[in-house]
Amino acid sequence: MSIIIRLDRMMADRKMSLNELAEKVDMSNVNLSNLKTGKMKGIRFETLNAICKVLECQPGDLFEYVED
Amino acid sequence: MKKEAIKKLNKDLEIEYFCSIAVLISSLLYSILYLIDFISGKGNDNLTKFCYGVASSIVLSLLIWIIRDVKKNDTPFTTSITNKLKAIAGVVILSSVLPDLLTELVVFVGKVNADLPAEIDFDFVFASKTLFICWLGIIIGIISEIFTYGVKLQEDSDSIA
Repeated sequence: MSIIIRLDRMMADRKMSLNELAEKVDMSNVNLSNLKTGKMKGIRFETLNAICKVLECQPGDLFEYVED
Repeated sequence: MKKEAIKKLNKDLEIEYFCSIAVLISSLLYSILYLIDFISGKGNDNLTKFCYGVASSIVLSLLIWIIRDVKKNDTPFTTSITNKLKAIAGVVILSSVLPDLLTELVVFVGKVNADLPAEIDFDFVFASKTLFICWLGIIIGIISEIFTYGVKLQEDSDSIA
């Protein structure tokens, strides 16, 4: 996949743990961990909205496109 | 949205769950009574009724198991539920022919043992009751195949955060 999720970087910048973010965005730890490690096929706008709200960032800050 | 939907499904299934348990208990009791009647020689018809009772009990047990699985897994689309639906379809299709066939066989063996002219009458295969039960089994089989597709969609949905 050419789209890389930079959730770990954003969480580290804000000193937020996975458990804390999962609780704030109302997601399970397993799902958020899978999203962080790029194991998920996609992300819903609803989830993206919640993550951006909690991390106070733009959707573009969370994703990066790299050439294969 | 998913949480609300599964909550509503679980609530809706509660009535079916208790009804299934009640019918299962009565079905088992009737099966035992028909078996006792058959053993005590009150007619071969009791054997047919016993077989229908056993088939009903198996189907109802599987239904109860399915409802419990839905409650446990928070989704009706799992491989285990699909397999149980296929099992129900199989039992229903078999129950369309087996009880009458078994009764015919018992009558046939009885006549052979008594040195009477005996033959198996296969007319029950084309009886409207047999065909209806068989169609019911086929419909359940088709629904189980639709559930197989539902399982794939569920897996796809679960891989989206």
